[in-house]
Amino acid sequence: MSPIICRLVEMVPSDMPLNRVLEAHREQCLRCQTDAARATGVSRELSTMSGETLRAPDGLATIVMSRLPAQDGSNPRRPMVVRIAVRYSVAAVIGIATVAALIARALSRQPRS
Amino acid sequence: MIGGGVQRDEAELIEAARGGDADAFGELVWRYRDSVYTLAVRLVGPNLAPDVAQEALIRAWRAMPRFRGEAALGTWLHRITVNTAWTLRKRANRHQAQQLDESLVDPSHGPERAGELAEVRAELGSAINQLSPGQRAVLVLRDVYGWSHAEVGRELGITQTTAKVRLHRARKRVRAILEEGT
Repeated sequence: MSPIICRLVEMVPSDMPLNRVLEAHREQCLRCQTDAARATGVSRELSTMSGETLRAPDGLATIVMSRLPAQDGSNPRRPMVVRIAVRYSVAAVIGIATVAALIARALSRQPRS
Repeated sequence: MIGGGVQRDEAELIEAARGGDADAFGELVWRYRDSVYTLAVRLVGPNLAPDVAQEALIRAWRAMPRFRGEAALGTWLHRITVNTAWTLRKRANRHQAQQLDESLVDPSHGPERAGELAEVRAELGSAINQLSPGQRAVLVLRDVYGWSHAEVGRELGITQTTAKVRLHRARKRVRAILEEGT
């Protein structure tokens, strides 16, 4: 079997569907099947970790309770929301600036009559 | 934990905590502290995990009035923990390189109980700790906690496709690390 096709199969995330060619290849290729089985095995082992709980350090709850501020109903995900907003804002500004620069350049090249 | 000799119902505790009852919240902290801490360890490692767990629980207290019960409290706390881990890790990275490791297996949980399993988990934990922060977060949330790609993407502020690709790379890297070790 072609190692290049094996590499292509390997590059496709397991949660994404393979196209017909790659799917057909995998059905016949022992190397790809072994690889997929190994991946499944690791995922299964990882999932067993969900049932394992580590013991929090002694005093964690006490520290938390001694530091409780006033409740303000603030959004605990706010930093994430702000980060996403900033990212999109920056992308938007860059996009607008690029378009403006292209328009300005195009206009400056137009012959004046 | 015990109120008047009777363990209080979680819904009752949540309602009281939403109304500012610190004792009720304390009971919830007692119930969920290990779960929050475990997720924090898996996301940022054992050195930063206590800070993440503390901060996440404090944020949860502040936000309790917003909690409407659309998700289970444990799920809600995990989301806050993911967000807090992300924030604190970045802050910590600014000051010092994150110290990796030690084992994810808590020795106090008795390795004699299941030595082989503990060994596998220790290897997995060690492999997870060698991932980049982004890959590690996706792998832990998806493969360990079973979150959907949509949830992972939403909580980490990335697209589902990015989450899938990152997960794929993370799994490959973990496999490679485990194979190197054998």
